[in-house]
Amino acid sequence: MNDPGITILLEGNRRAFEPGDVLTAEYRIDSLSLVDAKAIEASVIWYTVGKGDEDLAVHHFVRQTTDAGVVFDLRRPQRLRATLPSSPLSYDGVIVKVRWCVRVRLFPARGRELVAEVPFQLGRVPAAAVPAPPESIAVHE
Amino acid sequence: MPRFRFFSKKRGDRRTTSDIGGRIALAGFFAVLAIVGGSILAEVVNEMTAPEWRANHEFVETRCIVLEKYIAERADAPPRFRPEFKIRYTAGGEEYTTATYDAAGVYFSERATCEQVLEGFEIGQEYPCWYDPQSPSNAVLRRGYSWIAWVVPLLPAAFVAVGIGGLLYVFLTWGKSAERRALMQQSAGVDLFDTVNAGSRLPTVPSDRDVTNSPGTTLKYRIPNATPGWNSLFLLFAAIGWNTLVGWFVYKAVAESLEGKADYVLWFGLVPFLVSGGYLTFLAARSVMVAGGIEPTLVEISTHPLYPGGRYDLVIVQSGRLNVQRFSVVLVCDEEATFRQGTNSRTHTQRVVEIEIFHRESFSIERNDPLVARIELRVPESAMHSFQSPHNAVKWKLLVRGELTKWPDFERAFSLLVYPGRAGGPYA
Repeated sequence: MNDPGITILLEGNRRAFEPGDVLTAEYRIDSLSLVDAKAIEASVIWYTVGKGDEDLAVHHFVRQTTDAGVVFDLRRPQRLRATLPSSPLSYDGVIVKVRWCVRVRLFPARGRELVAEVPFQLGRVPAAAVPAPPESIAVHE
Repeated sequence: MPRFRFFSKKRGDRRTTSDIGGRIALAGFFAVLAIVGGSILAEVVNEMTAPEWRANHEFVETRCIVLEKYIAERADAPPRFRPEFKIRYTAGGEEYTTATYDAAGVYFSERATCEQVLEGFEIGQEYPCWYDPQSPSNAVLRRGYSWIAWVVPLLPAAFVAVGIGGLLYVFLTWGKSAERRALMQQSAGVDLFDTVNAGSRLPTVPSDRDVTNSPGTTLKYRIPNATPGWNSLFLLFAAIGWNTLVGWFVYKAVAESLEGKADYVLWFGLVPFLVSGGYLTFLAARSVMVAGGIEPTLVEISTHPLYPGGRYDLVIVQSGRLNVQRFSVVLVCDEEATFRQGTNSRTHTQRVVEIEIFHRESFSIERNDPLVARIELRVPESAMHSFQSPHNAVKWKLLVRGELTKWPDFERAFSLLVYPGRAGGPYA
């Protein structure tokens, strides 16, 4: 039997957003048979990458669970919609990087959990670099 | 074959240790803390706190005759003492003889304290005493509260609180995804000292109230100096402490040398300590000279917060009597990353923007003629906004630097906040 996979699609395959934009995504479990799962979580998050310890915050979170006896067919696309905040913007610094993504996590009834994520850019901050010796755009008196 | 590491090591985006293994170890640690702390707490409460409380609330008063008085000694190092009395009393029609004093059984470090207590009682005399109605053979000659019976339990109680709190955290977050755990922390995250706009329109962007609550005299706001003033004080105390310690060894070495017993190993070993002491003294003197000998730098700005692409008026005022070789104002942006290394927490800073916005060379500042520089500050269109999360930050500041003649150079930092936006304004 094939292991299930997770597919996440951002609407219009868009990967760049501005603060205040509405992000719409669809996610589904790719499996030929009905997936026996305890829960599925979909979230819009940012996290840091780089030299520092990872910081992570959740902007939008949806959890569907079968605990209450609700059976749902995960092969049918689920929809997620979130208005993006004004901060933090995506940032590709030298030792600090801020990344945004839509992450979907499936908790099967048996076996290891599955995770998939699709990154996207919030804002248009260009990558940082180690500066050359001080540049001057100064007013010289 | 998997290897076990005591300390996790970052490999790019992930850590090498197993999350589940770490959580089991953490649960074990908190469980041990709670169990050991609980056992000690139970013992202390049972032996000291509860008997004292019962003696004050439940024991029944009667009269007793003091038969003997002496000092009991506990063979600790150093030994500890306790006054004890052999008393005879009647309870419920029966006569009892017991050795007692107080309910908590407190021992003293000074024998003299016990002798004072003994002097308050005469053998053969009658005194009030209190016996336990549940166990009449148990009685005390002194009631009241001792601090030791109520303060000592606080230490094991703290262990129990940390242990139980840690276990609760581990079990509440057990089996939960990183996102759910983060969400729980965000929901519970109430930090009285947090300056970040948590839950506001601009999460992770620090509040600018430190700037906007300080009005300027020429422009709208005066930016507070962010250079920590305690640096000079710390260096000064460190230099004094270090050199006093090294000075004591030097004194010993000199004294031995004068007695004709020169210890060359000691002299040789002292050299690096003397060099360190000299360097520390140089740093402290320089820092104190800058802090005390150069008058404050005033920086005022036309508006705050700043936005990428924005242009702002700045006024820099430097007073005092200074012969300046070079005076400059630099806009900088630093990334700060805090990470664990073993059991330590370290912060690494990386400068990613450095733009000199003003400089002037070879001039003097007289007492009644301060340097007043009016500058236009342009925030780069590509600027990342100020950002603060628990372990990572992006910080903007103005650095005012002075290279002086016959005086140490100085650098003063003034924090600025750049908010997310474009073309000099916020996002619509």
